[in-house]
Amino acid sequence: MATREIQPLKPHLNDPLFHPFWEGAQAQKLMLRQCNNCKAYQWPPRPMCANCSGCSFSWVEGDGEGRVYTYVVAHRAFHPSFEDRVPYILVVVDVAPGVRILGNLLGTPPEKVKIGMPVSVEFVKQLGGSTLVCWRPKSE
Amino acid sequence: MRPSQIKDQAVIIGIGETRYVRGTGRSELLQILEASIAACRDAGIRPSEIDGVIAPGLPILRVEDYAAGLNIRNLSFSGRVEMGGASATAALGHAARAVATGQAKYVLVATGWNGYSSMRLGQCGDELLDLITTIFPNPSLRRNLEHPYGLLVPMQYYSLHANRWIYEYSLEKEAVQAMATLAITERKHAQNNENALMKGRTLTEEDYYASPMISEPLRLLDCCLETDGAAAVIVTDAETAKSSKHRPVYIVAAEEGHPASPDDIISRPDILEMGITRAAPRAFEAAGLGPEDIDFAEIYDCFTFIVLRQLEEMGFCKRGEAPIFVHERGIGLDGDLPVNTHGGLLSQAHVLGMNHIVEAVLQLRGEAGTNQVSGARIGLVTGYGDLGDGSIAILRN
Repeated sequence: MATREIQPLKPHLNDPLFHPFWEGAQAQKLMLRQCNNCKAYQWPPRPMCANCSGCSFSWVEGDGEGRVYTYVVAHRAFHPSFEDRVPYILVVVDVAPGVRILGNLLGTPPEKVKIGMPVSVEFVKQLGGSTLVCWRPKSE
Repeated sequence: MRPSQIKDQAVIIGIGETRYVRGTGRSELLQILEASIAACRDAGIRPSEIDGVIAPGLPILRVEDYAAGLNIRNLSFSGRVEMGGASATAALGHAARAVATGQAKYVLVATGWNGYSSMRLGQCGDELLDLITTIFPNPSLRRNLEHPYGLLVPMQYYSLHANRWIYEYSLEKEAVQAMATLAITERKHAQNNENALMKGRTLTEEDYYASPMISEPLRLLDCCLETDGAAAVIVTDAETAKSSKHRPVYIVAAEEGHPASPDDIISRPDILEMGITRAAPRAFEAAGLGPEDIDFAEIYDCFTFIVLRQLEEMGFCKRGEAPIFVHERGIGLDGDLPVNTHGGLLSQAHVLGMNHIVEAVLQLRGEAGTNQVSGARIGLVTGYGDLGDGSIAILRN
């Protein structure tokens, strides 16, 4: 029997609420959703703007810079696709007013991750072709 | 917001539990029915007298299945509560309001699951993803912005909260010491509980620190148990309860709360905000009581640190001061605030917090055995679940 390759957990690219985010990542752009009516960032994507109940949105490019608001170091894999990656770091990054984005922190040993540290976006191609939004400590 | 007034109008007259085990061939429903029958027997009523049913905790549980299984013919009130671990205590509030308004006379609140035999949150694989997208809100958000990066299980979400708390209040050492104390204290309590999974297995500080890190700062021994079992309570109005053979246990107040936004922990403006942050002041106001009046507390303990955080959000101490509270005031049976006197989810069993309500009733009846808090008059139960939902009930005898 052929061994089956373990597939990573892919984002659902055809989910219309998230499609432009992933399309942007593919093009190396961090795309954020903004309400056309009140101009507030609307995050995470939901059908209606929580600020003004508007239903019309545009996607605008963020600058890809931010600071770590919080993090977690995962020592145990809860899906086989993460087994060869533990321990891995997840950071929550403040990227714009009201917008925090989760991603893996690259190029950093777990003991070096710190809340408040400045990070820059880095786009990482997954096995299977999707591009994820990840983060790397900003060189001071 | 005006707290809902149910003060002393509702009474818990029956409690029931299955044996809590790891490994069963029995369905969730069968165990829930068994616990419900036990609660009816304890209440001195026939199951067919039940006219209200609430199924808290898991979307797989259905009121119709309970009613059919118990041969309930005259159901006039029903509900499901989907706040994860906050559901059982929130449901107690719904039950109290239903009997206080006369919508039902006997409300059954019952839940349980095979958290070991089938729905394991500690497993690794695709089945776990199915389970998580069943129990957590907003599955499309989970699948898009979280799962691809490996943010999968509740403890990883809650660790984001824990690390921010530790950072904001510089609790690098203090938080972990208090987490260890809590785990050890609950394990001690379990030694006197015949229906605790961890009876006979003591826990030292050395054991705690030797347990593997799972999701920093949470170690294996910061986690609740994975168990199979069910528990149930029967709520009735104060007048009907007068004929009960038990000392009445009154629901003084029961409130729920939800943080903004309840489906998302990542972009929540203040990640330390929880449902209980909003629910606790309402509950204390409705009860006309404060934290200083509470004789014991059964606090939802899916993970050690969340007990500490709830103590802070309920006002037992200020934010960042729970580690000091634990060490200076004491949470053991001889402490100022005995916590999780049955062993909790950490050392008794994970029955979605229904076991916390059962234990509070035993304490207030004076039937808690070796772990009885002497002179217990007023007790508190909490729930915590999903992405920060919270609930709180204040009970008295």
